[in-house]
Amino acid sequence: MVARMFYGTDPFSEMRRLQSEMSRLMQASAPLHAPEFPAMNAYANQDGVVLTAELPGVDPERLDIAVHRDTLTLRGERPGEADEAKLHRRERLRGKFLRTLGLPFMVDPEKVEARFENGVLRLTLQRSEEDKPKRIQIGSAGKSQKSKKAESSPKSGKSSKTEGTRRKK
Amino acid sequence: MAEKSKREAEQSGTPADGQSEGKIPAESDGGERTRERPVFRPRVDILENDKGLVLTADLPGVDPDNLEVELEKRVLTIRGRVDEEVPEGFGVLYKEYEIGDFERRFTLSGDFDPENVEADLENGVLRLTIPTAPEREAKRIDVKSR
Repeated sequence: MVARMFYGTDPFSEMRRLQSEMSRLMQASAPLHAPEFPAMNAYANQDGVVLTAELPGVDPERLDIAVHRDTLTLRGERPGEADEAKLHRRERLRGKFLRTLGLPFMVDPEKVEARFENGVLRLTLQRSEEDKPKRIQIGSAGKSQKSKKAESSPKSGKSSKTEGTRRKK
Repeated sequence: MAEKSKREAEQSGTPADGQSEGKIPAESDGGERTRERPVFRPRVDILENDKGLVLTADLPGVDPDNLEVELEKRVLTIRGRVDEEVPEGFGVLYKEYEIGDFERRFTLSGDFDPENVEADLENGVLRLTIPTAPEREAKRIDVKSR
């Protein structure tokens, strides 16, 4: 009875409320941008970037993807149920969307790979050759041989094209 | 006729805020999960026609093999597992959305025919057609007056 006076019916409810309030605040402060559709995740490495977006219900045939230098543009439409009188719930968002995204580097527009699976778009973009950092080698005979060896060993799975351009230098 | 079946009472919690972008976290009434990853409530549209209910749910990333739809008594459960991983050899540059599974439960008010539920998953959108139970008509008892 005493406990009830202090904590109400559930002594943990206040704790839970605080916890959810905290996580809500944390979430709210994390992204500084306004929520745009589609939300995108980006994964990057030295040679490229992979972008994913959730686009449920979007017809991949009618999705317009454009890449220019270091900008990506996505354009499409989310379909919705026809307006019917007996609609009980409408939570799915509808309508046209346009999203422009700045990329961390210039991309090769010829090497864009797009996959659409189960409503998730996955774009693989390659960093353009001109944009890649160049290793400058010191022109002494002994040293250049050494660095060549070191270069070829760590990443064997790299594309031959990258290796080719490097060797040309 | 079935005025009651129009109402779809959610089994748990507050109605989803359907107007803003972003994913809605699932209610945790089902206990703790064994997989350590977020669970979201799929956004749904529900409409009723003379044949029954049509439920459309956004389940991006759910493969048909990883989708579970269950109708037991009046409880409809939708569960979708998402197997999306960080691409190999890549690091996260930024994340605007979380990846997680989907789960949602509805209590249907009205009788539906669990044997004839049709489910179709295309481009990450589930379309469920739940026909009204045929027994409902048969159950009516006419009282004869002499």
